[in-house]
Amino acid sequence: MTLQTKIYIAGGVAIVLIVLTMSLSMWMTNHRITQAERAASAAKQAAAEKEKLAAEKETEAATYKEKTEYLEKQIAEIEATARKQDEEIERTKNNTAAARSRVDRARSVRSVDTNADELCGKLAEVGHGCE
Amino acid sequence: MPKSDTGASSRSKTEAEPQINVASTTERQSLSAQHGGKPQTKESGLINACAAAVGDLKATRVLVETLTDENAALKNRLDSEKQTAALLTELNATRKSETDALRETVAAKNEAIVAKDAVIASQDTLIEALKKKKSSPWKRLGDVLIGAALFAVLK
Repeated sequence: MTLQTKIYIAGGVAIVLIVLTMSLSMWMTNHRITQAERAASAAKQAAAEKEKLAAEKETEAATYKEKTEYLEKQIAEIEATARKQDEEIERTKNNTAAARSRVDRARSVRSVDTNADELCGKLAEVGHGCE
Repeated sequence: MPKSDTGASSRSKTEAEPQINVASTTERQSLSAQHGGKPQTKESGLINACAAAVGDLKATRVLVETLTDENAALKNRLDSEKQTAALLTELNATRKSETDALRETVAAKNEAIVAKDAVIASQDTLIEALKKKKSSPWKRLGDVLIGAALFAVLK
């Protein structure tokens, strides 16, 4: 084997090695890029899912807020009605006190100067006429 | 029913009579002590007492009506209070649910932020990889020179 042949073989081996190294390097780089692309895609998907979940929860919270506002409005209406009812109760209490006072006064009266006809008229007023 | 045929009517007539035809002066004075000195018989005293009882009955009936009204008003108020209590209970539960939902929203948003950070990190990695893949002009020039040197050696 001549020196020239050896040089050719060495050169060929070197070229093959260089090509292999370059191919391996390219494959590694492409692999890294593919991995990074997949990771980015997965991360985007995960982020989208989390955002969707957050939006759903926000909508749920908004629904509860609407319900809260509705209930507060209902309570306010009932409380307004209750205030009117309190006034009504106060009025009826005053009426009752006055009626009770009239009853006490009527009970303290042992005799009312009247005649039979007037008595019959009074009895008729309370549903016990003389007929 | 005719008035003249009933016993009550005839009785009232006979009871009305004595007030006009009062018996004796002493009886009148003894029975009418609290009626301004007006003489009364036993029957007229009874009539006067009945009239007082009628007044009492009337006043009592009015009292019963007012008490019934007051009772109804209190019942309505109680119903309103029950409604308010029920609504407040529901409101409390709704607010708790709203709080929970908001807490979950915050947690989900935090997770979304973390996920977006991960997206950014992975995109940075991708950019780095792409930068490495893209060879610089100097490197390309170097490759060309190496090729030329190899060609010259082989020649």
